[in-house]
Amino acid sequence: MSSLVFLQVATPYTFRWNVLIPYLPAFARGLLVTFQVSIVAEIVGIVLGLVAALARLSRWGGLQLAAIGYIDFFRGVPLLATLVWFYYGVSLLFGINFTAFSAGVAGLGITYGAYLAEIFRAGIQAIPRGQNEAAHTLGLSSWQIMQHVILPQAVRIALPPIGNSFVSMLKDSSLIAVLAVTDLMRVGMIVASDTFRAFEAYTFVAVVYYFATVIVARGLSLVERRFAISR
Amino acid sequence: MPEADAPRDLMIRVVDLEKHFGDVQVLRGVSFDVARGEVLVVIGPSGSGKTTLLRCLARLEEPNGGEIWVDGSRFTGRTPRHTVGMVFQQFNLFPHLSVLDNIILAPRLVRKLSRANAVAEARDLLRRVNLLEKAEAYPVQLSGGQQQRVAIARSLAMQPKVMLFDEVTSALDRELVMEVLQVMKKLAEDGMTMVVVTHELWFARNVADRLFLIDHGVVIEEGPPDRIFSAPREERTRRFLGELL
Repeated sequence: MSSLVFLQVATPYTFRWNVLIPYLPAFARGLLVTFQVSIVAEIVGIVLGLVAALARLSRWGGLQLAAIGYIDFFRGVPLLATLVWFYYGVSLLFGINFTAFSAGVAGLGITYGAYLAEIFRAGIQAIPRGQNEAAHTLGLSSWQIMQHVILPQAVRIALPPIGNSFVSMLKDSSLIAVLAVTDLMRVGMIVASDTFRAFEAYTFVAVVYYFATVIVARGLSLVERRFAISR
Repeated sequence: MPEADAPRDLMIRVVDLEKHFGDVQVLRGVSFDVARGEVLVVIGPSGSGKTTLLRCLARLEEPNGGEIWVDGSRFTGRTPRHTVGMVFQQFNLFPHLSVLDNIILAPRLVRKLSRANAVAEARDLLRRVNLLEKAEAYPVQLSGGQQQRVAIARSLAMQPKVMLFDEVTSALDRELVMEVLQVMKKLAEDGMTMVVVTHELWFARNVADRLFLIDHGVVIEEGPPDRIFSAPREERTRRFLGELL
């Protein structure tokens, strides 16, 4: 707030929010695209993360190494680089024509899968060993134990950090604007250049992201409470 | 050891069982037989190898040497594990499942029972442990004694030939111990073969057919409870019982 006052004193900038009004439907469509990308990418990330976590914990060394390689690589490379690489690199190297939307979803999902793998692994390892042993003495196979005893509990433990990752996803998805997917951020960029009112456009975009993430986070904590198991 | 050697009423034969964890030798050649329907109580100071012995019998630990035979066949990695049921100190009920679902999970997955049949069996078992009214409850809503009785019912649902009990009352408040011991007593009277690690002398005196004292990975004294309580042969037995009484 104080910096805004300072700006007004130093450079008498007059906010003109009304230039945004004609673009409100475009912003709304952009927000919808942001949610679409985020939800699909989060699902991709959850599936990949679960598979990678199981591979990481498997008895087979090859699978472990593959999982560790995947997790290290995509946590170590900047998301922006991954996105650009998926969009341009994959089509150059393999001749596959990705739409910007699918390249964005793939890059986000694969990167988030690397983080989610560690979340799932922590959840699985948090289950007391006695659960596994009791299930073993009842004659369940390792896979049945994972499916019916360990994962249902581990997923509930992982629910809060998964929710967090979705909140981050909503914001990180803004990077796909550089692939020219018209998400909320991209609409902000277009409006900024159309109106020469970048400050208003980006401030508005920031406020919308803020409310979207806060509302989603509150909703998710309700879900968490619904699924929590007491021990 | 040829199968024909085993007497007909033999349920468990353990021969020269050895187990070490790294350099620590926990079981140093333990051998014993348990007859069908017999209740063997294992006592001994902590760290003596009692729990490891049970865990080997349940195949939760792979022995480093020796053989385990159950009901006339060698108990190996390929034997269905639920031949031997086990109840744990910490109950280990599945917290995300109701009491009924805890009990029917393995019968449905392993014995391939239909849900209706598994539920019918589970209700019979719950009646046996006096917890039928808790079928829909979750483990967290039960007392420790009730949880342990559910754990016993859950094990029985797999129709094991042998039941192992590893200090199943040690985590319970005093006033809840008896309800679990009574269920175990009834089970013994119904003819279940049981190996019980416990510090409960009431159970050892009144239910055990035979008593085992283990120390440092070897059986140091064995015999009927009356004899061991009244006239222990070994100094170590006398000292250990003295500490418990």
